[in-house]
Amino acid sequence: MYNITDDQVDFILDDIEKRGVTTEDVRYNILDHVCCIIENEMKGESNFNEFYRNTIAQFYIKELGEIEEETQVLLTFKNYHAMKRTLKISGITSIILILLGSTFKIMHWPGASVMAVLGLGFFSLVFIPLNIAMKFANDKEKSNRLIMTIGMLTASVATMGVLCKIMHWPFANILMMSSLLVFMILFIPIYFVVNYKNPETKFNTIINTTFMVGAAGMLFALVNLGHSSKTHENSSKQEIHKTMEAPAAETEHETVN
Amino acid sequence: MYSSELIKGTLKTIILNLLKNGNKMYGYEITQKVKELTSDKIQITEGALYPTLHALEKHGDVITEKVYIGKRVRKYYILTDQGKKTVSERVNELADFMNTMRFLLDLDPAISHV
Repeated sequence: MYNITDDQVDFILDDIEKRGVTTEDVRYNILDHVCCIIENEMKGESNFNEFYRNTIAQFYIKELGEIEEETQVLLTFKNYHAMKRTLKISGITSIILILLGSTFKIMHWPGASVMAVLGLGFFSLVFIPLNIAMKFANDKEKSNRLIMTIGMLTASVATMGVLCKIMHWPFANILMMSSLLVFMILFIPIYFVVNYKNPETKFNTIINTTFMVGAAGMLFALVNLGHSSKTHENSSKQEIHKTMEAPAAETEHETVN
Repeated sequence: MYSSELIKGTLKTIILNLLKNGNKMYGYEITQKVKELTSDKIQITEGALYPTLHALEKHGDVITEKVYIGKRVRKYYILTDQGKKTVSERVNELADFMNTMRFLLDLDPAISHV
């Protein structure tokens, strides 16, 4: 029986990880299995490296990562499909309800509020949390999970803010403002830094970030304007007056020069 | 040696059946035992064995016991009470399936009335 040294065990474990087996349990199972084969089947005169390479090659068809993939598929298969189905149904339901709700609202038809509440509520409390769960099932990368979670949570809170605004419920502005602030201060910078590093996603990251900053900025301006139009009519008039004067003063200044 | 497609559908049943009677076994031991019992006709590949063992553990049919051997960790698989039920269900289902296949493929005229 061949005796495997600690260094050889480290080498095998390291190699298994490099070949794409990331789950610790699977890695240690393969390690023990390879060691057992080497101990029981390797002849004294054989070369360790060569024997190891031949042994590990029996574990897969194309690459060792197949074992990891197959394990993940078997572990997540059942829930994954149920989740995907719920995601589709909840997505379609909320889109239909939101579209109908907004149309009814614009036309002042009855039933608009019920549809808006159901549609936005479904979107915010079912569809978005399910998206986060799906990301966790699909993606093992921690940074991607973090980005998705922050983004989706802000989207969820912003949707609740919009709902409160439409329904004239309290806390609408605070919900929208806080989510937009988190979106702009936390989400966009993290998204940009993480994805900009990857040459494949670099270009799209710049475009997406520009769109997101633009959209979030405009929404933020709208939220700010929302409550001041009537209550601070005088002060806003004064502000407009000031801004009207300012360019005039500048042009005078230029002509003097 | 049988094709992997044939073995894949019966792998869970084979593993669970080996673990019944309170046997605890580890991965390599399972492959060797199956090889020995079937005179090398069934050789379980590692690529199929470990994903199945992890799935069985997740579904609660087996539990594991870790034994540290130097820097290695050996996981012994032990059948749970739920696993004992699963094994009898699966063995019965497979036996029934084999009878049906015999009839379907017309292999044994004696039981073709089943």
